[in-house]
Amino acid sequence: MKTTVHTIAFISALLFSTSTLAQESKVSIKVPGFVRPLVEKLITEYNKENPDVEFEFLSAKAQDTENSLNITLSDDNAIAFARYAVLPVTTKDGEAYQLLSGSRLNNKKLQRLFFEKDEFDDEYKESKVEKAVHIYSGNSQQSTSRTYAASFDREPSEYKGKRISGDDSYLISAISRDPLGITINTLPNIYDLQSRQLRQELAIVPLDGSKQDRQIINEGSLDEIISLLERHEVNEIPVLKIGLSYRHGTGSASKFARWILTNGTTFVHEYGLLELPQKELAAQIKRATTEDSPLACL
Amino acid sequence: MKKSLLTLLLAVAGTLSALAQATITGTVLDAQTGEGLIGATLVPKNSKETGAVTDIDGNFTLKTEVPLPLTLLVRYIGYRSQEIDVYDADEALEIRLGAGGNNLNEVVVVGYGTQQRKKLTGSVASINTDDLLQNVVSFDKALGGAVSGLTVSSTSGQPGASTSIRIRGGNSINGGNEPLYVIDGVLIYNSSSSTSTGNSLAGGSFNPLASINPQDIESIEVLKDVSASAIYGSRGSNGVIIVTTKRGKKGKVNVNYGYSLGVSSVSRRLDLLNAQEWGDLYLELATDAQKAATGVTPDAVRSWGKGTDWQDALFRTAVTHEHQLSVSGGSDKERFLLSTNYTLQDGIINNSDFSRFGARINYERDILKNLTVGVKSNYSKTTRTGAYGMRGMTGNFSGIIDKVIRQSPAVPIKNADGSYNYANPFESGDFVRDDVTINPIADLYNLDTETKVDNLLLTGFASWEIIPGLTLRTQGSTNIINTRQNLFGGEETQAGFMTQGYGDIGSKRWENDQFETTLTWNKKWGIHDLEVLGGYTYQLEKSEDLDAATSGYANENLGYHSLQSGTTFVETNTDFAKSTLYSFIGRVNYSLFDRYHLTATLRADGSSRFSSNHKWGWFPSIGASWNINEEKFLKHVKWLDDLKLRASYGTVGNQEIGNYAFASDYAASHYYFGGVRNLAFYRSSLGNDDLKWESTSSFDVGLDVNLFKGRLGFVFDYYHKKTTDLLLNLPIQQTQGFGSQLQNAGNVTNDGVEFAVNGTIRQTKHLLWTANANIAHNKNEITSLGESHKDIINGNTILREGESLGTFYGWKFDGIVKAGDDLSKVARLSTSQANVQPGDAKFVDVNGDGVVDQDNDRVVLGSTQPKFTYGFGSQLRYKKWDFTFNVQGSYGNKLYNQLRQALETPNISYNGSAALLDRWTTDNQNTNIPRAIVSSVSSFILDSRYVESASYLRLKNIQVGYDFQPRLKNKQKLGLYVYASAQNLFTITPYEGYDPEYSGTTDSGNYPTPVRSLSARSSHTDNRL
Repeated sequence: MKTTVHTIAFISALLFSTSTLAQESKVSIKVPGFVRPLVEKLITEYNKENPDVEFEFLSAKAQDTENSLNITLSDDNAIAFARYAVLPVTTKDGEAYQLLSGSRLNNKKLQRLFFEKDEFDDEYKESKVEKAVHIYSGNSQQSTSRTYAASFDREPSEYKGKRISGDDSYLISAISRDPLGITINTLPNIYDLQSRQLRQELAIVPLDGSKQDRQIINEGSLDEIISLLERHEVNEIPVLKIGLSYRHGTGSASKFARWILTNGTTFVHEYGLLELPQKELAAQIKRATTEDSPLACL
Repeated sequence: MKKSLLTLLLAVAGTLSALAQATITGTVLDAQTGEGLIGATLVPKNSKETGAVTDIDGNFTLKTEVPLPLTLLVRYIGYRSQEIDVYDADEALEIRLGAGGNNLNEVVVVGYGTQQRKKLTGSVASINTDDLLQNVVSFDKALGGAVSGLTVSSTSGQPGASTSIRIRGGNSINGGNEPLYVIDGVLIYNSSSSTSTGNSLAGGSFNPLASINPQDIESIEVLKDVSASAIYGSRGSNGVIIVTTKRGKKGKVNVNYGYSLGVSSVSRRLDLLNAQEWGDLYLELATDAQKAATGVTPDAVRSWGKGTDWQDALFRTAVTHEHQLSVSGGSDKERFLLSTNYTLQDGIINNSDFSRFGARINYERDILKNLTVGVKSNYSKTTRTGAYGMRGMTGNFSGIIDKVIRQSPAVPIKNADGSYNYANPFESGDFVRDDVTINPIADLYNLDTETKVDNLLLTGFASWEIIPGLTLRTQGSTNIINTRQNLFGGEETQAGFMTQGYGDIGSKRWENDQFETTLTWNKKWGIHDLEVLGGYTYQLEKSEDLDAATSGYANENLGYHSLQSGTTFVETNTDFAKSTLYSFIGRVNYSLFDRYHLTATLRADGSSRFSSNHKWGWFPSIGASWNINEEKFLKHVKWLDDLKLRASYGTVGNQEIGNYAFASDYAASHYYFGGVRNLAFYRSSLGNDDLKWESTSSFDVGLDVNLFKGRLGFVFDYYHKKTTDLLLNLPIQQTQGFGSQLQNAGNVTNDGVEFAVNGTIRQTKHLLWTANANIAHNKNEITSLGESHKDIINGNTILREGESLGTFYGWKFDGIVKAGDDLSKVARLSTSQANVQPGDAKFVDVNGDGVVDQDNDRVVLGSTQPKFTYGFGSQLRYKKWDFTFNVQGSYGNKLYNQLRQALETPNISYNGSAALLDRWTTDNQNTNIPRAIVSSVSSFILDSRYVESASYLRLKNIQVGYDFQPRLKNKQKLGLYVYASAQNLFTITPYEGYDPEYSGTTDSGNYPTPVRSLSARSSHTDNRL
């Protein structure tokens, strides 16, 4: 009888610990749509070295778990590992592109094109083009429309036009139905990651800048534009950071995060994203190592 | 088989339908504040679905059968609408709406509910609480100049003193004229009687509204016309001020701490004679015997120099500290706000202080999805010291302030050894006991007075949405005010001077219980929008007070803590009063096409304050409004945002006539017979079984205009109010044993226009400059005084048909009798037996009988009613800086400056005004100041020289602030706002007294309104929790 009891207890303990271990090695990931292909690639590569670790993708409104890893665009405290660029786009055959084709939009003009808060601004006189076009912006928490607005020191509520709820890729769908539609989006969403060329139906809204820069932006490949943006700052194209937010420690999420920082950044160009400058990457690696250390987690 | 197939088809259809349904969740927030917006609507565009409405925290759940992607139309009044294309419903939407500049779209609090301003049919003004309430201890003091047609005046500048507010003039002569306050649904009539214990010497009127911390207030609405106020029936005749306190909001816990430090001083000093100047006057007036008695000689006078500045010793630079801490927050199901505050305010007169400790708990919880319960409670403990009345013989002084100002500058306040000087050789009358006199500055410190008020306002409510659109709300509340007024004056003080000390303790418990239940039904179908409200309310008001006093203290050490130490029993009075008010209320709001609006209200009040013959009063009103700009013929006018025409008519009543006014009263009295104190009862008033409500019927027509996307807005109102059945004490046959009886007899009308404008002068990304102004004209007129049509003279004022309330009635000054004038043709004053001489004051002899007397020669000398009241202000925000100022003023109102009259009356005991230096002499005949003579005959007679214009323009508040908002780790903001401000910094007025902004008719040396010259506050908000 005693042996039976011990056996049951042992099996229960084993089942429980197995289940717990399984739980601990499962990393839950929330990721904006345009970063997801990169993250899937990173998972594939990571699993080659760590086949025991499981991954699941959660929707944005799902509760975080102990082993959550959030790829975030807006948390300044997150560990940055890559960057992304946001560009204004429209459809190549659309009326909006024709209206804008003769212009070169600098930051001030971009603000006037996209935002409307200053409707009472005595200095504000809306041009015919600004009145005619339809602005589409993303409404979700992870939309790059939010960070784009922030780069102008604006609130998302100040966008003109329509909001689109859901992934930013829907913004492209929205303007493809509206010849006057203009939106903003990231390189992975507006370039074909295979051909490395701008998606056929799209055109980048003409931007101000040097002739060389403009040529690359308007005609260059994805790699050329990435190279340009990594080389120097283009005023009209905000480049922002992508961060990793997770509970620091020795859990699977932490280990995966540190792996991304040390091994994963080599894949970012392939997926339309920009690398962090080497100095900054090194600082982020150091920070992650420090914050993951047991002492820091106390 | 067929049946089975049909069942299968239905099942499949049902399943498909269920599958097609999407659930979109999210929150609608204010883009600027991040706070949830309650009542925002979300509808799939181009669908016939009803959509969803956000809850109290801005959350919504929308179930839709429209396939994704769909366009969601989000609307909220006062905000720019938004369209959102929803491609997937996985993520909860966070929709941030930016404010629109459309005033007519805002929601305002009205009686027993809220209403979109666009649909209002009445005249309702909202007050910008953010700017106005930062610098006041009591919110009612901030209302002046903020709303057209609302005038605020002070009963005193003493901290904690009550204010007097009139909305569109006064309606009543013997009834109350104060508006009704509705604080979180609790009806409060602001009467200082709720804190008056009978120990009036211990302090003037105390403001019950001072118990509410202004920083706890979320919004203030002023209901001016009958369409808005009729829902309050018998209590709405003087207008209604609705105050709503803050509540917690869903989200992180918000902690706010504020501290302010203020310094204040008297706004102006009176120009008085110095010792030498007064000495010269004394030598001119005093008899040789008097000069010999006091030892005053020309040489002595020359040695006096400037002497003592008693006025300077009266005032001080006063400091005010305020601390305020609040914690608020909420979750999906509950919201809370806890706040506490402490104020310590020095008065500008020495030894007058005010302190308040207050705490508030506002809590509500959604027990069920459709059932919310909550409590709102406010407790405050206030203490005030300082009293300025006089007991017994006053020697024609109005009080200690008056006495200090008029004290002879030749007399020092203190002796050489630092003790107070109680030997004033010039003192007279009852202020001299043997060789001892009173010292009014010593009185400020030695008269031990204290008024302590505990005020609890407790409300509990439940709101149940029985079915969508049908809400039952019930609320119970109690307001308990416990007041204690203590006073002790030793034998050196005026109060105890003649009685070897005097002690008095008054105590009062006042309570007001209120219970109300309302049922509201909202229904919108097609072009129709209907809201029906029905309800019942019950109020019970009770008060009990006790006042006891003794004198003749052999030992003064224990003061008022031992009244039994007094050898002489002065008085013991107790009183009890109770009144009830039962009311049924009903209101229908109907809108057609969202542009034609109608409001009909009916309230039935049964008040115990009226006789059984007239216990119930019915108060109906009807109002309509038309959003003209939404008509087709104006829709294309892009610069016109709103154009609304309003009109309303109705009747409200006034039950503020005191308790038992209809009944015959019997009072107890005592008399001595054979040296024995006996008790007697006597009939103290003649009842009137026919006493009924004063009724005010009013008509209002108004226009609301908003132009250029809300950048410019106008509000214009014209109104006519007629109050009938005025309660007047009319003369009756003496055979009835009384000289007068309270009867419903007269009528008063108020006709007026109001105009308010607000505009945005300039707005850019970093700059916002707005301005606002309002002006109101009101003509108040007594149109009837009953059948006898006789004038009713009350001291220095008169009630006369054709004149307004508060009309002064006195002699008209006609200059100074000049040398060479034919003295036989100058009318003699009835109060003087002396012959008229050059240098005497002349008055108009109206009936030409050669004698100027009170019965035949008094004329109307103006009124306390202003012709215009106005206010204007501006707000400038540049980046994180802000600058604000507010000005208020009135024009055309008069005030009797009795203090000036007293100071211009030459006297050998008391000081006078520097104006006396210009007195008539044979060498100085071109003056309006009469020659110096002892006991000037006109000192007690109202004389047109002293009915002064009390018009003024006052810089009520000016403020500069900076909003730091430093960012902390995790991007959280720490709100830190620092500002400096000044109140009443300057006043432009022809009035020669301390302060023209006084609520009474006579300024006889009132506590002046201080100028708060510097004030700084820092507050911060921490939402890290």
